[in-house]
Amino acid sequence: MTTHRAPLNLLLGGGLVVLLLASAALSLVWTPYAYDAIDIAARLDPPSARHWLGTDPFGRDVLSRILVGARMSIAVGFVAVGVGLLAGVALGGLAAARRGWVDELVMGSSDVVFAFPAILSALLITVTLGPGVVNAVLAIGIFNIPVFARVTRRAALGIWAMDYARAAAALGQGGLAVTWRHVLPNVAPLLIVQASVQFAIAILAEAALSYLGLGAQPPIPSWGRMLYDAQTLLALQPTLALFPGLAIMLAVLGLNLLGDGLADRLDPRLRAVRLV
Amino acid sequence: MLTLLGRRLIGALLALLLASLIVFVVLEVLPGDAAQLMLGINADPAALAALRAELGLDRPAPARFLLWLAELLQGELGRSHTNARPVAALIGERLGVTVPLALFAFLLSTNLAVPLGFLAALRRDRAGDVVVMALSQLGLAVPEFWLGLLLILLFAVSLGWLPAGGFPGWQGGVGGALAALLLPAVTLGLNQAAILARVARRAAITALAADHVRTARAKGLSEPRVILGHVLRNTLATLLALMGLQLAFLLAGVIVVENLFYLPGLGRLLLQAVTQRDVVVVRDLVLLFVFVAIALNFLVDVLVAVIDPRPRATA
Repeated sequence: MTTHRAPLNLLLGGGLVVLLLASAALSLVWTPYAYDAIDIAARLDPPSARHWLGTDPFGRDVLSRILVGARMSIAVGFVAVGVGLLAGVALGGLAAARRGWVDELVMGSSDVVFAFPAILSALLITVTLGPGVVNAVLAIGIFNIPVFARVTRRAALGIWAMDYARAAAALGQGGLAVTWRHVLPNVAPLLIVQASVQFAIAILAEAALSYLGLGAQPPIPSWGRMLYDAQTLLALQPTLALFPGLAIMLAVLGLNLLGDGLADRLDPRLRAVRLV
Repeated sequence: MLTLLGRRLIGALLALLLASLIVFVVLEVLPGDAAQLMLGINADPAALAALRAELGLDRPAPARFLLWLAELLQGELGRSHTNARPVAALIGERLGVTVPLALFAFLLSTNLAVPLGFLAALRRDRAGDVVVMALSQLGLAVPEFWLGLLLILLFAVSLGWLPAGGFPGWQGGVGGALAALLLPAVTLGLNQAAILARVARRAAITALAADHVRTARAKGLSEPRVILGHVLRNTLATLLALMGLQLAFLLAGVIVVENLFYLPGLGRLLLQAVTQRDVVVVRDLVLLFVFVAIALNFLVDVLVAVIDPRPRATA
């Protein structure tokens, strides 16, 4: 990657991510209207000075709902990435430290989980436990495990081949100690970059699941669900379909750019693994 | 080479086995059992017992798993609870929508993304590159169902050029069917195209820097021959490997896109089965999606091994 574009990635991405976090934080203390305040007289209003982004078929303020919806996206992203990061780094670190059959087992299982994209496992979980945001987070988080396991393993194998790691092992330090002292600190930058990308993917997945009715249930606002509700009113009030999608796009764009920018900044050779 | 393929085949078969076990276990840990789930909490005990016997739920779980596997190996799928039809027949009717849709999306995204990625590599750091990479960033960030809504708004609601949804069937003419699949295919292929363009650019940059490309240029080969004969060939393995991994997501994307455009395909069937709690249909369909992803991945592995016989680093 060229260096002259790196600051732009980082600035734009960082700015959008701050905007996302600030929207969610702001919604905790203030929204223009209560997100569930029904006002039938003002239903399906176009954007105006009273309702900046218009109102939905119940007369609820779209801007307020988008601000509150940011909380859902952030919460799902944090938990899903956290689950994947904790379990994935442990498994990937173990695979690299032990090699042999442990490695084969971890990599083989991760191949299988890769064949279950979040939407598919969410459908499977939903038929047993019913729809809900917890199931959505679970499905997205499980899929993140093999992603982080692979990234960690590949990078850790590189560190294990280094002289200092081999020396530490030769001096009698166990696999866990070497992993903790030498491998993880060196893998950390890559994990940060990958976490940023997975956060973006989690937001997209949560939106898709909510759109299918498998995520957050009404009246809790979620961007994907707002788009689902907007679809039947597409001809009547197209702006309803515009703003929630724009919110998703800006959040995802920000996280992706931040990931790219961080990768360039931390180590130009870093590259996040990306399938979705 | 053959041992590599043998190992991959065994790996794929093990993955299939493990995947079916996962599906079975997830559906097995339900509160109550499948019969209870389908008939509801207030079901008539006699009806419950009858359905349990029909589904074989009176047998222990390991026996049921083995029985299910044996049936699958004979190509026998279950029977839908909601309309009592064999799942195989339900799938058969819908393949004519889902397979063309996935292929259409795949062709669109590949034919768009690979040339654009190569163009960006050849114009590295110049305007063309910046534009292609910016478009790819946008393509990565746009949720597919939102893109679908915007396309419907523009091409169906405002302009009226294309249908907003539904599928006329192939018997009514290929033109009408393809027109109905165009917006869904664009929607489905966009994310894939965005990633593919990035990877194609990176692979082409690496390939362009290779010595043999310099030699090819030095001996006076025309630029198209250099690109097709030397650069494309050397990026093919990388691109194919990525496409193989992406296929599972393309299939999952079908679930969203078919519901967005009201297309009577496998994805819509699956979501309907989930809302109707038709456990047998969900079980068989999820397994079908996973099987196809694993099988296609295996085929891609074989193809990549044929194109690039150097043993791959286990990445």
